Amino acid sequence: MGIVADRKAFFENLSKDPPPPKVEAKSLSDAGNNASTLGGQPVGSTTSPCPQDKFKLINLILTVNAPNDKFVMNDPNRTFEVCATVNYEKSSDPNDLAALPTEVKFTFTDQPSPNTNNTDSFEYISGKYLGKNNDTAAVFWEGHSGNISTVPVTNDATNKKMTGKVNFKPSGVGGDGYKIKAAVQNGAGELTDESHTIVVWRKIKLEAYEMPMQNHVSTYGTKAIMEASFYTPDTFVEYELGAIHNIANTHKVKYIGLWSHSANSQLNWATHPQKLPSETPTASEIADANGPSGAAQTAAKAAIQAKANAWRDRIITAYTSGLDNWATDAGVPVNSLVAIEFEHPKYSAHAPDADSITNEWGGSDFSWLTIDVEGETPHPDDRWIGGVGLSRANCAYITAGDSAAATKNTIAHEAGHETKNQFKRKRFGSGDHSASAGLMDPFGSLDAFTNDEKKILRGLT
Amino acid sequence: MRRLVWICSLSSVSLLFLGGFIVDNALGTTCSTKKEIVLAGERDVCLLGGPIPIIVRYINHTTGTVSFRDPTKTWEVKLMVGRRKGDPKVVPFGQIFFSKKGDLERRTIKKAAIISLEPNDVYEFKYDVGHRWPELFVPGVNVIRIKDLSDDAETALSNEFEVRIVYDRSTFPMLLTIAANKESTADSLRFANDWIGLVYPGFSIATENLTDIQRDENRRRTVEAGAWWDAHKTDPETLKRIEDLNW
Repeated sequence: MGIVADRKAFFENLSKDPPPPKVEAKSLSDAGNNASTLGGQPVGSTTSPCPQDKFKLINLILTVNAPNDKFVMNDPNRTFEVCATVNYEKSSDPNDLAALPTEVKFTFTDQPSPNTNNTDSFEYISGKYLGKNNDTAAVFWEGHSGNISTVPVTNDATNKKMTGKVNFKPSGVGGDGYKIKAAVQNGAGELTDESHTIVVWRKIKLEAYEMPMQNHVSTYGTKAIMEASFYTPDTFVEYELGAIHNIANTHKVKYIGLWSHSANSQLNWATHPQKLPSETPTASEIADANGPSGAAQTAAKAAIQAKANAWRDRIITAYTSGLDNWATDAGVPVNSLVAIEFEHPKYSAHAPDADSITNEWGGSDFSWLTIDVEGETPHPDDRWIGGVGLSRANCAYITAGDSAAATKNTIAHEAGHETKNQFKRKRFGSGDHSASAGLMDPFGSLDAFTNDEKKILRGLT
Repeated sequence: MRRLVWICSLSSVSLLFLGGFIVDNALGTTCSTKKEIVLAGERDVCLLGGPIPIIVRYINHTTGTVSFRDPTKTWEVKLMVGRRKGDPKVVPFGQIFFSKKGDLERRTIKKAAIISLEPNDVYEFKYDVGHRWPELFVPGVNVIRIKDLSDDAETALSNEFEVRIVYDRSTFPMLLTIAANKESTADSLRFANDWIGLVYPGFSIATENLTDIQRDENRRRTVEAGAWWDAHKTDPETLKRIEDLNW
């Protein structure tokens, strides 16, 4: 940015000695002393035979407030300041300008041309599209309609420079790009400067919280890993892992689903699954359930089933309470990525068997017994669900025990979901999951975004 | 086949003595020093849209017991399919299921048997990759490999197996079967749609998030395409189109 437009003239001018005054000037009234004037006519010397009442434009420098040549457009209404600075000097050359220019003209060109048509992009509000091409109502320059913005310049006579500013409103589609140009009238010609190509990007920033000893996110969710394999340049999504917040030791637990809010600690899993008296089948129920088929057996099995269900429900109630309270108690805000050890002995695929496999319904007495848990029908003493992570209350929990490859995939997937909270895009599909195989499908089918998923990340339809 | 396996093993062992654990072998690939994966196929030539059975052997080259989840149910075990040039398509054998209930979205994996191999033991399984992923294959030579990412410290990569895929007169009915199968994935439906359409122009079925009405319409169009096939499968023009697809 900030290309000196007429470098040759500028350096040639610097190398010249100033023209010697023929007669010493007694007084030089300077139009620029009226700093608020828009260039304006200089009030020339009245006594000098060679008055410096002309102006020579040295250069025009364009600056666009877009670090790294990126318009980060998480907010489709975001604007970026564009500033043209014209440096000039006073001159006695009669061929130079009699007056300073009063306005600067800003224009832009699509790079590559044309940018995305409005109807090919995501309609984030009825009638409002991320793409701006072909949209006659689109506003590119704040306060101006059309593709050209002409703004008055402010003259700083002391420093002999004029500035004109305007806010640019690019498209919201990742990958759209612009070259912005500023021009001022310079006699019969123009003095101009043009920016590099500035490209529209969107950004996903994750806030991560890690339990002591659980560093899956800071290890596998780094910018380098995510941008090398998942958030590649063709997604036009910049990935940032924010500060890693350490969860206090007081909330370090093996299973967040066993968190007790009232006790401010983890439930004792050695005793928690033990059947309560009301959950314990009687000797006669067990005998009848394993006796000859008939009404007595049916009734006994139903009674035992009800007690097993009550046992299950008690564990699930405590589990749900743990999930509800642990994050709040640990000070983990919403929209966070949280590294934990495990979810619950009965719900975690990688929890040790010694925890997951209970012995409350063992032996042949209950070999026929199953319970319903989220559509699965395990034996109550088995691991119920092969969970490897969860998302709840806008927090994504990354658990221990997975391979590095699976953990990276999970973080990329969860970040993919989070993008919808941080910038405008179409949903990947039902439940924000892709219907076809992809990183965002509900089966973990691919280790990279598909072209269709990249289009959605860019803000296309 | 055995020779390739031997090269891989020799290279691994040689460089292991130099202190390497993951090594590049003579084929420019990486193989594991713990689990060797040997890939073979039952046939060198298979039909597009038809069965493509492969045989995978895990061999324990360590001096201790090696345990791992059933590879066919393990997400970290991947099938790689591609042309000689270009990036292969990579798909996992196992799945990570994302399911939502209320505000809870859970990620789960299926139960899998744990395989334990004593030193030099071999675990072998057969798998029809053409049935599960017909869309990965195209007419011509397809290169298949298996990659196992279960061990963070060491990626296990099989030898390559080349299978020639052919579109012949048996292919069209098999593609119709995929198109009519309500269990077919969106990708398989798209695959069937595209390859049927190259022989029977104008064929088009819905492929994603199908409604019952769309399923019925797909079925109707598939039956229609079957009738067309019966009437035109020996036409010179049809045979020429099929022949052209194998170039």
